[in-house]
Amino acid sequence: MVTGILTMIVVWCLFYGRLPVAALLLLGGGLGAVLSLSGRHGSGQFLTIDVLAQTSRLNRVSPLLKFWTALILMAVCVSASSPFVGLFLTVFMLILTVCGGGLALHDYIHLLALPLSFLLLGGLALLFEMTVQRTGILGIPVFGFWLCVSQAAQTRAMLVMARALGSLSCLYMLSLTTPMSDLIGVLRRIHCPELLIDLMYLIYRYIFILLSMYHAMRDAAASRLGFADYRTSLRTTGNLYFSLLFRSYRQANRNFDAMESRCFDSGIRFLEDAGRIRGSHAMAAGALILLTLGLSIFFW
Amino acid sequence: MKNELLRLEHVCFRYEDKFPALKDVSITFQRGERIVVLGNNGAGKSTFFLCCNGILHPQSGEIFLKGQKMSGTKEDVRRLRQTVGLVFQEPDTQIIAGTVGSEVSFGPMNLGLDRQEVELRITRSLARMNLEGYENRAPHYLSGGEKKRVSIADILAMEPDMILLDEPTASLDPENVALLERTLEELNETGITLVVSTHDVDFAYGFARRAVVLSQGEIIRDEEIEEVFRDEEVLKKAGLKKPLLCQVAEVLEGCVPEARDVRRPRRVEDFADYAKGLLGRDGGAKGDSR
Repeated sequence: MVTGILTMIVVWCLFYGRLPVAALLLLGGGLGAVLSLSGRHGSGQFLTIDVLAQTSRLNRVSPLLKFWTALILMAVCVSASSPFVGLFLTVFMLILTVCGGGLALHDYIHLLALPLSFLLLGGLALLFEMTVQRTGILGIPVFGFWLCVSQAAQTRAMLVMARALGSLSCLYMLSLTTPMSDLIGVLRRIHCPELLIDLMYLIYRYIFILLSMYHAMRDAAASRLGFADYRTSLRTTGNLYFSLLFRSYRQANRNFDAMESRCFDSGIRFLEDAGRIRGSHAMAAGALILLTLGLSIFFW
Repeated sequence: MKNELLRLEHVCFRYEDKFPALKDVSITFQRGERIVVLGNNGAGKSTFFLCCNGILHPQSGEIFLKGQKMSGTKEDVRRLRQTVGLVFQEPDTQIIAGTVGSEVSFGPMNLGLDRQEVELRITRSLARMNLEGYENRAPHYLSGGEKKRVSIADILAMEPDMILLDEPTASLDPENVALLERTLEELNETGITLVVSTHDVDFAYGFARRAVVLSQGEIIRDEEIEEVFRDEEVLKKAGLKKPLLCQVAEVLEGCVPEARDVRRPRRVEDFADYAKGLLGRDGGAKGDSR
């Protein structure tokens, strides 16, 4: 909802004086409505992304290819001097993730809404300038000063926001279609330090164990009225975190035993997919990069 | 002995500043056996398994693998862990990878096998546990029964001669227990020695030939399972209940005196023969359990 209203305001300021008022109203209202209607707030953003990545149809595309494509596209997007490149990537990645990966549109928009609201707030800061005299095309009087929007500021804000949105979309495409373990595999192959990789594997796995432990304990506490009022919930939460710490310590010992019993000595090694890059996938990625490059040169 | 797989001699183990968890444990496991380890909570079953697997080092006593004494060297420990696999009670204790395929690859990779062999072993052990097509699934979204099967596949991929299963039936629903029973039987038929600790006496009675009863860190009985369940004193000491089939057979033996000479059925499927034998319709054919 907040994102929706914010979008309306920002769109209004961005295009004020560049588009007729009717089109402005339509664009701002439309985008705002889409965002606020699909802004379904669920809990556990992280887990949502994990589930979506596991079920995406694109998760069998070589993660290495996706990783490099996303990285190159981000570089192109950030260095482009026209907002069209960023907008193109935003729309393209949305279509790719939704139609190609089989992700529900409202899930994608919902996930996008959170970073988008930060982005829009930043955009507002870029748009307005505080001046003594009214300048620019739009002005709001505030305690004897003017908050003004100039055309130059509009252009600048548009570019920055398009760049940010474009790069964000590339990252979303990567993270919404690639399960975490594949991503860690990619990092290993580009020679991240072993220690970091091992830690990532373990942390990723134990997030789930810790979380289920936490949920079970929280529910057990709630069933004994542990959260009845403010004071008890404070005390319960404290106890809960303490026993969580204690239990995870014990669990860690047991996990280490289990790893040792499978001949673990040093360094976690899994068999990773050779990740053969399919020719058609590589060609598609190449074409996309060329197209984006072309766009950024054309609109230079 | 030629078929001897693992032998423990006078093994004692004590956790830091606690009462001894294992007291003078001596036992021999032969190739191809199926054994249950019974005993109440805290009797030392898990400690016993951890010692057999080389995770815990006994303060005194010796362990022999295929007749060879295990010293504490890295090489020996490795060989012990590879030959004697241990399936932990909680699958979540064991599972560390983000996909089932890489999870199962952990053991073989640690054994330093080459890529092709590891791939082969993953395929084979997943197929054995009915987990084909699970390679890319994330373990944390699997059900309890599936996780259990993954944790067994983990060990199978290391191709051990003997597998220790720590309470595999705990927290499984009846359907999954039945599935597990079948799987264990198949594994045993391929020559793998199985040692299972359990509280489920009915499962134990149907599954095992030999039962080892632990109580307060000591082996108080190690014999054919039927004999163990006749020993009231041991059952009382270890806090064990008789299996249902055992109880029924006793009731029948009380009513029909000649039943005492017939071998007791260990599975429901064998019970028909047993009952017919008692009723004399079959000319007193001996109900022979498989």
